[in-house]
Amino acid sequence: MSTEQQEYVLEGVSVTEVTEEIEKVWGQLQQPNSEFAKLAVEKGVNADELESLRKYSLEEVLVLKKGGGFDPVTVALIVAFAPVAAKITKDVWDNFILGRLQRRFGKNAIAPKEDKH
Amino acid sequence: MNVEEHILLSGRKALAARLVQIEAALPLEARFRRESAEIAYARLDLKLKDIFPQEKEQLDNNEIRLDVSLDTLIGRLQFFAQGDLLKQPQLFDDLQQALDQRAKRMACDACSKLAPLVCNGGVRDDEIVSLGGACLAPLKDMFDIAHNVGRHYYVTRGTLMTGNPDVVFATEKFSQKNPHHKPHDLPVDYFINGETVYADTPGLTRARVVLKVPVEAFDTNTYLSTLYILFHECIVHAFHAITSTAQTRVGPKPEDRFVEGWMDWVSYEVLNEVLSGTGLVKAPVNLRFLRQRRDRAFDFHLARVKCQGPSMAPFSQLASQRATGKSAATKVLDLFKNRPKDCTDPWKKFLQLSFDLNMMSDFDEDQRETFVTMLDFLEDDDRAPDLSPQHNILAGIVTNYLRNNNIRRFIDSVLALKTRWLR
Repeated sequence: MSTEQQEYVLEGVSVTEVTEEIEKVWGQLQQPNSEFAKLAVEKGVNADELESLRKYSLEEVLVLKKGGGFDPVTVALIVAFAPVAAKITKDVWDNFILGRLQRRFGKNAIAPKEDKH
Repeated sequence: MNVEEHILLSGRKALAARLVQIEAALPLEARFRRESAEIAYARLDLKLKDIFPQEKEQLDNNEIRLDVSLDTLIGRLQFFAQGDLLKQPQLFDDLQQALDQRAKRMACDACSKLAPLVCNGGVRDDEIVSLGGACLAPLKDMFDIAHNVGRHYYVTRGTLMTGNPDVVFATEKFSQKNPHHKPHDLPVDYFINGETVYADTPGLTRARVVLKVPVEAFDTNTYLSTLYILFHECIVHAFHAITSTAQTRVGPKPEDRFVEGWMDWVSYEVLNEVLSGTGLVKAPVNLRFLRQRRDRAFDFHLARVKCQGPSMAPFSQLASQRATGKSAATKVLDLFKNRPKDCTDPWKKFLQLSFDLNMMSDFDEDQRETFVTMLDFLEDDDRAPDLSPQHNILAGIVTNYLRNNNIRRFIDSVLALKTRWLR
């Protein structure tokens, strides 16, 4: 089974900063009844799916890689969803984590690659 | 009560400090100059930019409340200012007092309608900000002015306003690639932009005006230019295409010459007359620095349409499109002015035409494009000798509109010229 992945262009923010924020958000999501977990459910993440993700570490389900930029100053972030829980992780990513990152750093800071062309 | 999304707590801490600094220092700006401390004033406006990276940990820590964070940031700013104002002790005392007063207005317990719960980076933050939002109050107050003025003008001057379109305020952080990176491509150093997002549902016309803020770069000039952005969003976009609620509105393209050129000029002129005290609505008495806001609005508006000057000047890519829209608008207004028998109040009539065109859902993108293109055939000086045949035909159509007040016929008559003049 191939690993599904999405590519983002980073603007004004480093891969390290984004990775740290993802780790922070993930850590909060792992705690039942945390503010973030409640917020994620409010934003459309299925509560049962979120619960089922709690048995995995971030590294087990999400691989973050620095990609090639489109020019020397542009940085790309590749987010790969590991097959073990790809659908659920992608759901959480699309419905909560990505939006959270965009609110934290700015919508322009982390944009899907296709939007930049 | 609608809960809108706002900049997250970490960004709001920084923005709140900026707003406190600006609103405390600006009333003292003349005194800084009189007391030969203009450099200290300029340094004060830059200092928080240096402090933010040093305070990153507490800004990012959601367990530290906004007002606690503000105490630290403003305390550091005061310490810095004290060093710069050693020879102006009274000025420093007054600045310190003003900073403390402004910061106190942002106290979280007093702000939060959900107290003892205050913003903590959690699920209720947006609700707390929507219900209270003392940390964003200076921006929200500007939005309220722009929204109220826009609505009043549309209701009073336009003839097509129906229902009660909802317009709400939201904020969003903008990420900078470098300290000069702006949320627009205009040749003007104001670090702010806006976007109106349509969130219509069956039976409810709803626009969300989103202020895009690079929080670290938000300085005094940006603060003073923000009202122009909000007037643009509220007058150009919030009531756009509202005459039909059959489908969700689609935002115009950035190169739309009518919306972004013609209507932007209208919004600028309305802001200008309100700030000058000659508009339909008076600026609230607590809105200060009217001249400075007018000056920044002029700069901002000009930067949108400026496409002539030194060959290497960095013009906006779309300036030419917007300039065409503005040109068509000004020429139509001039025609109104030159027909006193048919038009006793040219500005009033021009506002009616502009607002009605902008509100019409069936005045679509293609029509707008052709409409502006054809009207730009008008000549600048309607009283010049040897006017072109195109000018005379268009002037006749405009005069007919002034006499019969039939906007659809006016549009169709202008659009019909396309097949004759453009091949």
